[in-house]
Amino acid sequence: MIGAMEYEFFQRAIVAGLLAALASGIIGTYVMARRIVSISGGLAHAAFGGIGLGYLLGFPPMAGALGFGLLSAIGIGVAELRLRQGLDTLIAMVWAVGMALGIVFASLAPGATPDLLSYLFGNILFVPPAYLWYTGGLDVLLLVVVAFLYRPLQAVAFDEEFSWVAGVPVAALFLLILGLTALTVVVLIRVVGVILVIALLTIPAAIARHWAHGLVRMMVMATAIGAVCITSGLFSSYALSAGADVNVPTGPFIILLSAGLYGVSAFAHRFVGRRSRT
Amino acid sequence: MSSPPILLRGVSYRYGETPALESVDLRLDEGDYLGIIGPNAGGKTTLLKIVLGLLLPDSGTVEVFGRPPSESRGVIGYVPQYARFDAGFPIDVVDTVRMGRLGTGRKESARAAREAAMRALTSVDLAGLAGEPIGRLSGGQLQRVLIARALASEPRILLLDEPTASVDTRVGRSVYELLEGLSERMTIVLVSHDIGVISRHVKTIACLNVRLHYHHSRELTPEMVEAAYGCPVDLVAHGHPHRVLPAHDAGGSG
Repeated sequence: MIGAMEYEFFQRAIVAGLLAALASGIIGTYVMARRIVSISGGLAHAAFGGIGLGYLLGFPPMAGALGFGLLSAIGIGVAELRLRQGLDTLIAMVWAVGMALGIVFASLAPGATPDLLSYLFGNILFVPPAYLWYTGGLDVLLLVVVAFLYRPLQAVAFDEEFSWVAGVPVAALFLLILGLTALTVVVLIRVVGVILVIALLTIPAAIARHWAHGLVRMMVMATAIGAVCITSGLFSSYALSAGADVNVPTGPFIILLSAGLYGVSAFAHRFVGRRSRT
Repeated sequence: MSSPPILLRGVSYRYGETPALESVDLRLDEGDYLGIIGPNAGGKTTLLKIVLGLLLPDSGTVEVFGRPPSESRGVIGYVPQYARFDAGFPIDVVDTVRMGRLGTGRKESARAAREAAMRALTSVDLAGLAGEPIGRLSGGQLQRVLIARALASEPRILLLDEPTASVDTRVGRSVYELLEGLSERMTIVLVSHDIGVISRHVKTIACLNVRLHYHHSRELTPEMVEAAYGCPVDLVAHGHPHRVLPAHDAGGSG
């Protein structure tokens, strides 16, 4: 199993996984606390529209994904703040419309039909080297934001009305967090694919929430859990293919592993909670 | 001459077709301690949110120390109903109270903010629970944490929404004792449907059921309480037959 580390692609996958775990631990914790978990799925699929448009008009699909992701995030935020539409409704709309646009644009694109599925599932074993730098840069940006705006962001997630009354710029912080979520989702799509992005932004934070009583501790714990799930997923899928000649796609394997851990954690949390009350 | 802490003139607000407030006039002076009672859905929370600037009135004007609420943020300490909080939110007591220190333009060290939060917690007798996650608090404790959070901002006005709903009588009494002390240094408005209890504690009382009945009485006289209790009946007489009314709301508690 240690032999895996001899391969450069495998080393790169581990590094990419650890960098992705940090970004998704921070943003995942925040969207979980703000109770907008489905935002990551919504923005990931909205980005699809941009990927399709890139293929159609001949610009880099990831630039389209970034544009669509950010525009959708700002659109959702402004529609919520100004039009008082329900966030869950807006997220579901953006989700479906983005996906539909992506498929329409791709079908109109000249030449061979582009392989949208590769974006959907991604492949952490073939991360473009530049994306290691992008993900690292994203991590630094998120750490800086948390360092400077931790308390206002926490206050807005906990109690938007009180924060506004106290003078916190609620709307600006909401748009900031939506924008950062879009950025995270788009960068990580290329690293791990849409499906694993949703899982990484949701499952580690959900497990951490069972045990952590503060946002910072929850971010640290979610990052650690994400890192453990990704590395153990990578090693075990390598071991399966090298040892038993069973080819398990790595991304889905990581998701199933994390979901299993979540189930164990939920039961353990319930058991511990019940004991401490008696 | 200084502007009054709260001044409402002809304020109306409706949710779709349903009026929540109709031409409400209200003036509070410094040091007032007003209790607003009224049936559920009588517009009490709506009135607080309009004073806070969280809702904009359909007509009429709102001033807080002579300025619109959106320009007076940080002046009012707001204590919302605790029942709407997510007890699972990952935060401890002292961090919750520190939110009161986040006001516009307040620059202070983390240590100073923490000390201010601890002072506010001490004033509600909860300093011993500073590190406790809020999910482990009882209803009465969480209620006092929310009061401490509002006090941490050193407000000039304190607005409380049903501060003793669903806490037991003893806890309720301790909340009112606390407010009585605070009323010597700030203007307080508290809304409740619990007439019997608040009428014993506030300095003046008003009754709100879409329209506000307030006689600016400095003293809480038996006649005031009488008027308050009688007000839903009054409204029926004034042509709102469909608002027939939680008579039990008036008589049952206290």
